Amino acid sequence: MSLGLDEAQWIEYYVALEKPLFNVVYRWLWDAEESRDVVQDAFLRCWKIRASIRPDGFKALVFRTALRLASNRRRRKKLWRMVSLGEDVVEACTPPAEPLPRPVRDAVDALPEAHKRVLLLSELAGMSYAEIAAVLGIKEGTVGSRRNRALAMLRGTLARRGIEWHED
Amino acid sequence: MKTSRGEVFAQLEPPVAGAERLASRLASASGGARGGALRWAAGAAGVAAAALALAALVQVEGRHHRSPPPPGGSLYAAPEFDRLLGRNVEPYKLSVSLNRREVHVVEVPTSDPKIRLYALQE
Repeated sequence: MSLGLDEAQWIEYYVALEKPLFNVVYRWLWDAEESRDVVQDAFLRCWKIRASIRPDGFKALVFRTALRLASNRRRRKKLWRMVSLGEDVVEACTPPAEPLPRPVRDAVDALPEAHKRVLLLSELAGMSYAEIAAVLGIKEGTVGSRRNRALAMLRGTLARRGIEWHED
Repeated sequence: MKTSRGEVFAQLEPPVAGAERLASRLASASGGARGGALRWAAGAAGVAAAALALAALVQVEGRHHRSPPPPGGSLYAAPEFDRLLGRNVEPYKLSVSLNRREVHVVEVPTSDPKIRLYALQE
């Protein structure tokens, strides 16, 4: 059995997954428009191979695709910053209203990618360990340990920068 | 400065009209795929027509050159090529010189017509 081939049905899938996907990708790129584009690119890529996607594997596939695209785009942005514009110029182009203070963003960015993926999928997509394991192709035990480690690293980084962490 | 789990992992709203935008992108992707299929069919038809034209040309040219005029030159006339060129193989007169003196050559009969044995008589 394969996934629905109808465009309208595909939009329904998108509406259901847009917000968690957007929030995960946003913590990668810190740009709302770009994050929305990446989420849509992931859906378009899956759309092209929809006939071969099993319904039970769709969610994992679309998250995996979005994470990979976000990661690639972030790498390209970093490279672009290095070779062309200075950081100041890029910052001047960034919209001023940011939902998270810059030091907090930097602390999230400082997490190793493997740990960051687990933490974001857990906290923002509300995925279970089994679901995260399916997305990332790792064991559930590894998901648990990476999540705890990521939280500890995040708290540690924030503390070193003088930011107090509350669990609420 | 303070922050909280709720702040760091706050659920943000994506930009508006995402579904409409995706619908339009899906439509153009589907249109692009259909256009791609049409382009592929047109290309395949073009290749097939070219192949047919080439085959016809080869056939016409082949008909013209079915019996080529025999080329001149000693190589073509050499008896070694008789069998290869489909000519009747004429018995070849064998002559042998021994110490600069021509010797008489006598063919020895064999049971196999493909094998020829000769005896030299001084």
